[in-house]
Amino acid sequence: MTVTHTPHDTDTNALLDAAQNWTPPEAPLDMPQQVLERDHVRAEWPRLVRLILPGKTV
Amino acid sequence: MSSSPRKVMAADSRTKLLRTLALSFALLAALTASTLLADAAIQDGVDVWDVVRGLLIFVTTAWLAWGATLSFVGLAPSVRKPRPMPDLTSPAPRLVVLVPICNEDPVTTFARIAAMDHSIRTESLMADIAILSDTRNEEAALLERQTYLRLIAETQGKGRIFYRRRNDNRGRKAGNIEDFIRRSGAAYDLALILDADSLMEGRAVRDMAARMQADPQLGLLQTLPKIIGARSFFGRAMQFAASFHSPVFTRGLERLQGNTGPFWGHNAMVRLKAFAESCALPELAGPPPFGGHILSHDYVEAALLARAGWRVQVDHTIGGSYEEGPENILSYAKRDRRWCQGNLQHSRLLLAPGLAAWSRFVFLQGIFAYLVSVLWAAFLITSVVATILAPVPNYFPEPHMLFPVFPDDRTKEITALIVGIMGLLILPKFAILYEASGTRRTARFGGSVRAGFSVVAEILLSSLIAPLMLMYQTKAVMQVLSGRDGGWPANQRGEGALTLVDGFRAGLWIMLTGGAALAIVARVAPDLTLWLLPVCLPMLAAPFLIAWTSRPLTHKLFLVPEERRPAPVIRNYREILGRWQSEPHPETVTTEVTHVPA
Repeated sequence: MTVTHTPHDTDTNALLDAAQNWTPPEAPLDMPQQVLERDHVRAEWPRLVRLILPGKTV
Repeated sequence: MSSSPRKVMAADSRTKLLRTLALSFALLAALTASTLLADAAIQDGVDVWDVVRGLLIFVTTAWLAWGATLSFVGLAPSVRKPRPMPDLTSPAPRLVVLVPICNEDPVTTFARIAAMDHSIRTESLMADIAILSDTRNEEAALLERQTYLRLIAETQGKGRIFYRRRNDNRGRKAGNIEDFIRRSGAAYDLALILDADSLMEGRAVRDMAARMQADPQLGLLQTLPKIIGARSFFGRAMQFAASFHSPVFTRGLERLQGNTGPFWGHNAMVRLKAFAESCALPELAGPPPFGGHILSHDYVEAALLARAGWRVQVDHTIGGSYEEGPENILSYAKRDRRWCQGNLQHSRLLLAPGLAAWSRFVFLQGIFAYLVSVLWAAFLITSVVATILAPVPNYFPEPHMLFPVFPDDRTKEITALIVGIMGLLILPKFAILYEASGTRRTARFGGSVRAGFSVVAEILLSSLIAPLMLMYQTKAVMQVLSGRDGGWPANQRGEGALTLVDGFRAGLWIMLTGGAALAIVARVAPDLTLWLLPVCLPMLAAPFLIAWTSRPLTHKLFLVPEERRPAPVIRNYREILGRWQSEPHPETVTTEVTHVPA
């Protein structure tokens, strides 16, 4: 892959310092962890059968 | 888990009816195929191989028929009036464009961002852009910083276009976006999620934002990205198929999706409040490939948004959404390996609590997209085994018979089965060509004749490389099932033509497998040799096909509208890229950098 870049004598540290000011604004938003697995996963064949029924939650 | 007050939005009765019809058609086609096969197979008695073959042909045909059904549903005339596209009202939602990158070429990626920024501002739309780097390689990260300065100079984007690099890339792309939301999500209402190779018109971004603003229940709006910039035979065939066939398949999907549409990971807009409250993905218990980080996170995020009561929709009518595609079979197979692992991992989530039934069905579809290759391979193998183990015909079943009794010839049934299966593959494409000619959509593809040639050429190419894809996908599934973690390496974009040596490196094992299969069948079941030639001959030619299809193709075939009249954002991107590459920044030079896996 051909890319364009700066010679190695560029002041890397200056760039690293400058990069601290390039970040997006601080405005935290909570993201609660989701639950995707049951504690005790069992083979629930009736649920699998209901997969073909549209519009129903299983 | 968040305690969302909402429940999954139920599909309306029309969507339920369409789903039932589509599923019924797929099952009916599968039943017909099984009956035809059983009718031919029971001539010499029923054994376990006949039962296995019957089951395999049932599942594989159901899968093919389901794909065909999507096109038929998409081709059906619409009975609903198209909704007028709303426009933004004041106050406009606070919008951010997220560009997660990982070991990408920053020059091409940031040139795209510069073009999109210009296009967005042309639409008088206020949007920040955040480049979210997960790049691990220090030299590549340095290039990103340098190119960012050039991007800022090009766009005057200081304070509007941001760049941040994570210290660790936990959760990969999903974790990268989650990190942004946790730090900065409250500053925005909507986020347009892109890939490094995404390109979107400002008009499309504005339309999406307006749709999200007008429908507060809409949690995610997915566009259908068209492939651009393909040069090789393989790449241009895919580009044509994505432009010509995909809108119809996507329209079919739209009509079946209800409120639980897809998320393809990029070129989609999300409502940040909805995404934040419902899409923080946990690690799955156990080691990869089935445990650990969720690889194909997009399908799961769509399911989680729907679970929390948000509407998730895809809309193929939003134009100006683009991406790039693999240029050769090898790149395609590498990407497929990642997606295969990600989709098979979804088997862990089939029974996740609270999901809509359609979300589970989408997981199942994704799993079968790869499993079906193994089932086809198993069908071919069992067919050979059944033929070898079939009892020798008894021409004189009764003693003292004067004339022999010959078994009924069931060639017609088998031929009908093969024609039917081929029909499920090919008929949708010709039906789309017919529809496109009728609506004069073919005019944008060089006219009906040229579009017709392109459709036929694409079908021939797909048929030729289908056995190769079957082998690559079978290998990928076997690797995942045996516990081999392929990881999630960075995309290798811009791969060009492959040499014959590359072709042999990538396809010799397929060639040897095809040769061995043909030799064995010719010896032990010569009657089957002719039937297996369409599978084995492309396998024998695998190295040549891999190399040949990666070569550049002239524009006579597979013409797409974006080649005749590129959108302004495409033209602007190419102008910026050309300028950046031909006139290096005062502090920049050109060198070679190799992609480093994430």
